[in-house]
Amino acid sequence: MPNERTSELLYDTASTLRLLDAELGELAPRNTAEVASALKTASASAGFAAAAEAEATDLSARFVHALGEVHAMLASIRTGREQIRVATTERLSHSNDKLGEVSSATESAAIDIMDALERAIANVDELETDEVLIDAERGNAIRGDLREELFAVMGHMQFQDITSQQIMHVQSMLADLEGRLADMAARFDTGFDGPARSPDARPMARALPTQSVFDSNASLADAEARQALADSLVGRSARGV
Amino acid sequence: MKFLVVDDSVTMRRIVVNSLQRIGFTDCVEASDGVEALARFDSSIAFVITDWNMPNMSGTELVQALRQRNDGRSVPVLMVTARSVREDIITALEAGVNNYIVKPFTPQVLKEKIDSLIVSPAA
Repeated sequence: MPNERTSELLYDTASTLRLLDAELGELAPRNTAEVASALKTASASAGFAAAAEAEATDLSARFVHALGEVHAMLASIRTGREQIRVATTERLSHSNDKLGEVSSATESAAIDIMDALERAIANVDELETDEVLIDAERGNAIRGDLREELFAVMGHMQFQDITSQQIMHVQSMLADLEGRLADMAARFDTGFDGPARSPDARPMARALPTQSVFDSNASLADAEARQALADSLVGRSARGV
Repeated sequence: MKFLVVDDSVTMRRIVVNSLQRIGFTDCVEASDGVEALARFDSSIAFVITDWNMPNMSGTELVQALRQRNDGRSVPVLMVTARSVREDIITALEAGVNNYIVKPFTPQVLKEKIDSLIVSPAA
């Protein structure tokens, strides 16, 4: 009996060990290649996640940088727009006024010259009359008047000096405006496709009158009042006041 | 009496010179800016008529340079300019200008100012 029991126990133990071995075989890897493949897949997944995270960080930085550039560009445009507004409303308006003065001064001088010439022609006509031809004294007086009229014409030519200063002032203002507009345009020059314009094309490169060669307030108007002011200041200076 | 007429405008120089001749002064030397005027100035010049706005050297700079020279210290200087703002006139007087004419001028005004400086030269 004990021998039979021992044999049964040994048989059951052997069966149990075979079942256990089979279960362990199912759980264990089938071969080394599968193990390597599995490890590689796992490693790749981890690397992709890291790369994706790094790329996202880089994109964020670029986005922030681009946003900053756009913001700076918008601020620059706003500044430029204000400069252009000031330039157009003030400088062009002033230029228009100055050109109006040039036109007015030219017309005034032309009328004065025409008046003087008409009087001179009348003097010449009078000199040829029989009455004057026989009256030497009268003739001399008329010749004196004629000389005065011709000299007055010469004096009226001063308008050329005044108007040239007014025109130089306008030139100066327009050049300033042109330079501001060129600077504004340069702000839109991104440089991606090369410079939009040649540096030589910069308008200020042209020869322009400097501030020292003209008076921005030059005028033919109110000459007597302005001379009176000068006389007053010269008188005070002479008296040491 | 020899005049030195300084102006960068040829038209203005001719008008001033003709006006001087008209009132009896026929001896004139011309210069187109302050630098040329200083080069032409010598003891024979008895009177200077100068513009203000000129290239290279302005009229006020010319007067200041003349006042630093022994032979230019007392020569009468008449400024003929388009500048007529109070501050400008004072600046010219402080620089050493003796009298001041605002463009456009007449020969009568020119004669008056010259006479006032010849008869009674300002300090």
